[in-house]
Amino acid sequence: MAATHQFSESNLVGEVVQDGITNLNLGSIDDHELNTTTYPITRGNASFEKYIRAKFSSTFTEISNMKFWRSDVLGYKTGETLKAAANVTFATPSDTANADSNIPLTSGTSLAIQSAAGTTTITAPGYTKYIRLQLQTTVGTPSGAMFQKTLCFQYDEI
Amino acid sequence: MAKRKEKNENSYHFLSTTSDNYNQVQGWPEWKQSIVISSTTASTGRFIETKSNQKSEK
Repeated sequence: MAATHQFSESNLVGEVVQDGITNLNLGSIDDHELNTTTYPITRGNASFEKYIRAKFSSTFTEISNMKFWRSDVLGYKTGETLKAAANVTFATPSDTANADSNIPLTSGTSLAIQSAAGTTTITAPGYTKYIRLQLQTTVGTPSGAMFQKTLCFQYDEI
Repeated sequence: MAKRKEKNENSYHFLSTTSDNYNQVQGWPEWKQSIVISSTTASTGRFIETKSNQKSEK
């Protein structure tokens, strides 16, 4: 029996958890799976932060070597950057630009993700620590859709 | 003339070494098979430019 992996997002001041999300769309509202046409980002501003986790369920022996990075090669629009921070504590998502680092673009430089308990392995169903994402722009960012980004969570399972 | 029997020191050491190796094999960790799994999700967004068009009446 293999582990079941899901992406999970938490929103709002109450840390409302939504498991099994199908996208990580970024926009001008603190919500999961948002509509990017309804909630675009005014250039020069930042998106609302996203607090996401991996959730493991079903039967498995051990999850380890958890990594997270952006795995596509489409690059950025002018003045646009995707920021990411690993193993953070949840806070009410903000649309004020934060000081996080650019998300890694290769497996070799990926973020090392910990279990909710702060360890490098997971041996029972549960979550990882939070990953924080935010899209930041400048006034020079062209209007229109950004390049679709593919975000990869990789792990070893025993 | 009878041959004199001699103790074979080399054989003794060989047996000792074999015994040590056997114990080391018993101490090896159990083999565990792991698989690497990648799970991806897509992220999109849209940028807008807010324009203002002001005219002053004279």
